[in-house]
Amino acid sequence: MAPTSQRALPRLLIAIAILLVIARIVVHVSTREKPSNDSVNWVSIEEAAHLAVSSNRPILMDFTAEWCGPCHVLDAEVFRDPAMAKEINERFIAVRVTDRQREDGANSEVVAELQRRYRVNGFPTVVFADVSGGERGRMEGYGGREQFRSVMESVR
Amino acid sequence: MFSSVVIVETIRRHVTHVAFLIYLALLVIFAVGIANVDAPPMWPTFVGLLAIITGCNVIGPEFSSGTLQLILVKPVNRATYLLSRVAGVVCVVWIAAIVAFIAEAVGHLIGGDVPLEMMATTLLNTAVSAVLTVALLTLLGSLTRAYLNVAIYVVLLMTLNIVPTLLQFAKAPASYARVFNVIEQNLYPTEPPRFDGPWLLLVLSNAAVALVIACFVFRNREVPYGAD
Repeated sequence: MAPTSQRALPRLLIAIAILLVIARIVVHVSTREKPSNDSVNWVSIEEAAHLAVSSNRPILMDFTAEWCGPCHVLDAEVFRDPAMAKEINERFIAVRVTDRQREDGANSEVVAELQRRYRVNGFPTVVFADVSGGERGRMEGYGGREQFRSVMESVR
Repeated sequence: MFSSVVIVETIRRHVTHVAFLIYLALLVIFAVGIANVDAPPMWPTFVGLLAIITGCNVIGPEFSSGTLQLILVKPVNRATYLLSRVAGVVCVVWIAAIVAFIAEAVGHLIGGDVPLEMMATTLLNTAVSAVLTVALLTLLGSLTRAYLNVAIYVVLLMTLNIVPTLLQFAKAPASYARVFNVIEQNLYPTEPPRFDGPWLLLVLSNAAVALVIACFVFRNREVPYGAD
């Protein structure tokens, strides 16, 4: 049966749906390509050991996971805060260790080894380690900027 | 695109229902009581549940009871009717969310401090999340009859949660689990604890696409008398 006006599709809704999908793709692509200049300079796990020795700076390891809500709050309030990011970049070599157990079924060997070594049982966990890898301080969970700052200040 | 009569009637039918009023009262008690406890607010979960309860009523039960057949003999555009029903149900859920939001604010006022930014974010995320829930249930309702839509909705949610774990035990390639995870993130996205533009876009775009498909399916659906 040919569609009658009773069966016409809502053009406005179709237009809105197309616009939203396009906007979603654009936002996804643009946020992927443009990392913020005001946030922490994360380096890879492999680079971190080399950089820590050459610059004689301790390592900050952020053990995190995509699905972890408090991790995103920590990221927004601390790692994306320009003043905090500047201080972290000046004092530490920052490494982000992202757990992919839930998404991929298993973590890479390097991530699993770091989680074992630093006894990471939950997220977020931030570990401060010296150039030889010895733990100098840690913060489990996220209790606000001040908690993070006090742990960071204790690592001298 | 909308029929104000259908929207108003849908809202009226819900807000004058005793069960809705009792649910609202419980929501207020929860929101006020938990406002000053050091834990995430529980009312968004109850509002999400309300979205499922009200969303599953959009088309399927009307099809089975014969109400839909009576409505569609009139010269109403099917998509307009469907979208107006969705809009009405979404409004009902939003009313509950706003009431819970106000109740939580009152609870915080009693305690002294009102974390308005966090509360507003929770309200926004819950309200947007409800749109996707209702849209998905409408899409499933346009394909099925009675309350099969809510059954499929719940079974799908459980499947998407369980299968990745089973795949992990079976030592299947990680990409298989990732597929299920991506589907889950799109259909049942976890609300972020802050304002998240890309997340809002994800939810709204998925809801809009679900409604377009629902309109398309409903347009072509045969609605004979004595269907059930």
